[in-house]
Amino acid sequence: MRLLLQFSRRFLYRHPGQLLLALTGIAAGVAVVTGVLLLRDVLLGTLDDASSALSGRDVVRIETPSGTLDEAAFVQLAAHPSAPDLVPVLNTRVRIGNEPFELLGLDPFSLADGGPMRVSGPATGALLGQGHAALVSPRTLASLQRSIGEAVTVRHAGQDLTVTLIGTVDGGPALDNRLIMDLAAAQDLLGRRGELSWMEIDAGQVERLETAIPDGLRLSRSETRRDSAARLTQGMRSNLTALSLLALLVGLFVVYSAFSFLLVQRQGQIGMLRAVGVTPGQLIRLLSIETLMLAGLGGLIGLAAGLLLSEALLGLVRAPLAELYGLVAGRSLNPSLMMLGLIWLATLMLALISVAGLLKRALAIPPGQLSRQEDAAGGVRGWRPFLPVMALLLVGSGLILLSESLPAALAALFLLLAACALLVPVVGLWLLGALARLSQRRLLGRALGMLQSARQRLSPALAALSLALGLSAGIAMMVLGFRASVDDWVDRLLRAPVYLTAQSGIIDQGVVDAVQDWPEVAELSSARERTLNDGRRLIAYDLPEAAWAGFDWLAPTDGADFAAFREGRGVLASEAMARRHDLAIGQAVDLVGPDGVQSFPLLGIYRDYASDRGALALDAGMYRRWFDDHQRDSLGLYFQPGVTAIETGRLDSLPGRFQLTRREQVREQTMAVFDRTFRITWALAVLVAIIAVIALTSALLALGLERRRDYATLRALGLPPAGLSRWVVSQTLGLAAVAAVLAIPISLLIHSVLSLVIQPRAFGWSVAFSLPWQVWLLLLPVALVSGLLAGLYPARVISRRDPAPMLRARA
Amino acid sequence: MKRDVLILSLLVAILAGWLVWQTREPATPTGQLSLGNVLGGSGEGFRRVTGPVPFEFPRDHGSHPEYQNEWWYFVGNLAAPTGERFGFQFTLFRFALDSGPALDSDWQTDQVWMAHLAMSDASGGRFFQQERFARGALGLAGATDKRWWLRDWSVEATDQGWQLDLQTDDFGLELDLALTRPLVFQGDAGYSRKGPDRGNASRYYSATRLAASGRLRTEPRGLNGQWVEVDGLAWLDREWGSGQLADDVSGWDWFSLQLDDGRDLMVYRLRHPDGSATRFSAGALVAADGQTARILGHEDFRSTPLRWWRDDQGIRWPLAWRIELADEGIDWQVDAVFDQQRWTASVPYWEGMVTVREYQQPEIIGRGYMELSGYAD
Repeated sequence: MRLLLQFSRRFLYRHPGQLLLALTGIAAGVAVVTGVLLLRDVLLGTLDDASSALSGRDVVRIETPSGTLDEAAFVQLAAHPSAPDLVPVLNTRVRIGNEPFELLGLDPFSLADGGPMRVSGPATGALLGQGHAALVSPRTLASLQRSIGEAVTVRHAGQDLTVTLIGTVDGGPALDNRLIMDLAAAQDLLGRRGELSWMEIDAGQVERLETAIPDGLRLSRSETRRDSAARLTQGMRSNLTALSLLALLVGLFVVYSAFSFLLVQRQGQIGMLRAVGVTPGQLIRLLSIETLMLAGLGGLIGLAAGLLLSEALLGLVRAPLAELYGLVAGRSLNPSLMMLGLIWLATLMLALISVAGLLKRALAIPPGQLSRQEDAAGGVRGWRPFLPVMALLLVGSGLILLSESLPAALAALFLLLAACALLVPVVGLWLLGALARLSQRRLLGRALGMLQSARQRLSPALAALSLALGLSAGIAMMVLGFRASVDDWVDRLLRAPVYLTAQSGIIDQGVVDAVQDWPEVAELSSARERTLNDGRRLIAYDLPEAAWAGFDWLAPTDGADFAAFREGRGVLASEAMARRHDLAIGQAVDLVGPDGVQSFPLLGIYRDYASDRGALALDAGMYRRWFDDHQRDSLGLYFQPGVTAIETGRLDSLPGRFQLTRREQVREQTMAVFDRTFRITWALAVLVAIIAVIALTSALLALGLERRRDYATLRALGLPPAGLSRWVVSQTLGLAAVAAVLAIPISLLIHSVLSLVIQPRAFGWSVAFSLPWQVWLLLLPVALVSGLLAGLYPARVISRRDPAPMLRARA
Repeated sequence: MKRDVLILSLLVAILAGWLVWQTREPATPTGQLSLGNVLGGSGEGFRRVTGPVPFEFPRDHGSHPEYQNEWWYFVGNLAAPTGERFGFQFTLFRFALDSGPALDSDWQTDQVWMAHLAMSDASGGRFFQQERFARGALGLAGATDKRWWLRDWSVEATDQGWQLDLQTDDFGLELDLALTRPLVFQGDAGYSRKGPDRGNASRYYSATRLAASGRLRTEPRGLNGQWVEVDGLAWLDREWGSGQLADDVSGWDWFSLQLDDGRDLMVYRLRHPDGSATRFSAGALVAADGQTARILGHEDFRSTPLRWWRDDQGIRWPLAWRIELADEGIDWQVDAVFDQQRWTASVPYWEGMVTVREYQQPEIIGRGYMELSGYAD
């Protein structure tokens, strides 16, 4: 055995390129899977948002639906006879540079040991009497590139605030990107005297307080919060899940491809070993050991690369998480040894399985055969190969049609892709054959014709390549299509030329009246958002006729009753809201207000991509009367005829700091957020494309190298080295072109399923289907470049070799 | 071949090592404070006690925020009709901090409060303890001449003395405490020196014998019938100052003893790091009629440890003592009623019920409380 192992070693030493390619292939596959899985993990971890991560699982929060409570409630509860330890918390999202942070104001003395929070009291006690001082985790300090005693500029509600970092506090990744401040300093800094965000209490102790909780406050358990956060980010997670499944699929093909390539390389060697008396058992052991070592090492490299990759990807997810869902993700990942171990073991298993299939072929090599025999000739053998394809297609389509759930759609997508993977080699080889027949007389035709005999070798490579290319293209098309829908929607929705928002202060009736009096202004629209007691979002609109026209009504109606809405005789629902709550037009919708429940008929369902939670819309006049809330979040300013801008200086007359934003700016900002949200998707698409190129290159290299004997024959028949190079390159280019062509229907399938099935199920909104076919134009060049790259090396090697020894191998 | 195996193993080891390092769990630090540090402090920037000033009651029962620290210290020995014995300690500590810049918040404060509540169940050998912190803001904690409190733990002034209402999940106490004799002003009319500097001092008075009656429970709240009627004797110490302790004090041993014959004795021994007593150790002996008190200097008494107990953290505590006042003919032996009366919350110290006997005699002639600090540093 030792001798045999030395034999393998010598082979790999003599072919370092192949060793490298095999390791790269395995590592790339493992890296993508690891990276995406870790990222998903972080996303789930983020759902145990800020303080529940700080405090551990078993914590109950006392809060109000509005998210703000009076600190008097804390005093009342804390002094309640035998009150358990309560932790008052004031939190807000801020930014340092471009990074999202959470600022947490805490009372260090409520953090006594054994209390509900994991941050230790003595550590935070240092905050007292220090003014606007904060503690951060050591990792955050390092990432901010600050040292203790230095100040950072924190952006909050349009203002720059200065906070001094006076120390570090260790609480694991849960404290990353969090600024821990004393409650007094936080209230002062944020101008929120008297306010808390919530109070925390140990779940085991909550029973004693339940009866004492003042009206208007509610208890929320960490699992409920986790659930609701989970619902919030469901769309994003399912996106990632879909992508990780697809990456896994491609990764598997790459690993398989890497091994089958190595084996093909060594056909001659194996034949020789058999000839000198090595038994099949010994051969199996040798190849298994080799596989395990290669897979083991490649797997480890892949795990390390995957960790680095996920750190890089994390940066892309953090901003949209904070912007869209208000969740601050930890700065780094905490991979568990268990998870890494499982991925590694899975890699070994997979390598063994893929080699088992190949072993069968290796053992079939007769002793003494030093070069490869032709595959059995013949085209598509009857209808049998189509059976599993049909089955997969049927089950996949059935799943989509029969079940309304998201996991079913994801499973269906996976099945459909598996069907494609099976179908691609058959169709691909048929295409190659057709291409060969078309140019029969030319070099290209002959070169491609030769590929027909390498059916088994080509199938996985062709499938991996087409799938990977199709996947990248499909995802890109989905994002582009969705982007077009969102852009249309924003364009249609933004009717007013200018919008007014508050940087500090509030837009109250006084501000509205003042703005109304500006001579440039003809009409005002306004919006005010409120989260109802049951968690639903309600938006109160003041809508002039011009703004009403901005709503894009969804079937079954072409419009809604404007008069009824303006008179407060009904509500509107966004598509996501209607879908999530199964609302139909005309149906009564109950809203819980301060003085009880009121029922409104649903007047219309409108297109809305603002939030996948969805929203209900009510006339603002009705809202103000009912909720006695006279503030607005934003105003839309409609100009008098002939006016194009508001005179500068008008804002100075308003009490507080306000900002005017032009319609185009709002649109740009919206699209910027959109693009940030989908950066992760793009990154994954590019990643998959890179893997596709690696897979293609390795497969084509293998092909080129294994057919040395045929090339030697061609040389012997008089084909000059340059001609041979052209021969080899036209083979790889032909394969790449076929893969690119096959990727087109696959990308269309992926785009359709993602846009038409997965998006509505994950986010609750539908997307107008569009066909950004420009993506396809990119497919062919990408494939051809990698085909060219993959062909050049073997062409060079082969055309330089002396054909005689190769020919002698045909014994 | 060997070289290859070596290189390969090294590569694998490095990769695996890096991966394992990436998965490490962050350590969580724990920290304990020292009672000396908590009650010490330099006193800089705060008003200091530099000489005797007449007390003004009831005003001086309330807090003195201009001083750096202050405490209200109740201890007592109680008995149930069945003969079961219990001890309790309730202490309210106040610490002042540098006030820092002004903030627009009701939470801003330069006063921090800590409360310790402990109960000893002598027959069961059980020791209960709970610690609480609060900032001196929003009425969460404070001390006036009428009421001393931290959240719902409260001591109300009554005509006879004070009323304690102290509840936790696992144990609770409701007691009426009545003054039976005049307050004792420690040191020079309440000016109690603890170090060589004039400012190493506190204002210190004691109620050495309070008649206690009420009820307690040593069972979780909510179970019926677990309240036990009790009565006995309690002791109150009141002290405040800034930077009382000199730098060379590493801890103290404090005894409050109530003799069956009516005498009360308080002595404390301030220790140098080498274990010897400083010359500022002191005490007071109240006569049996309760009307006169003799103030003791360090030369008037001797206290010698007789038995050491090692706790589960390996820290040794002297739990039996011989206390001698030669010119009073006192030669007593003080023993912990049971060993496990050690505080394990943020401040490690031993505080528990003791018995008093004539030295090496079996008969108990009095009971009291003992506090040992500075042994865990």
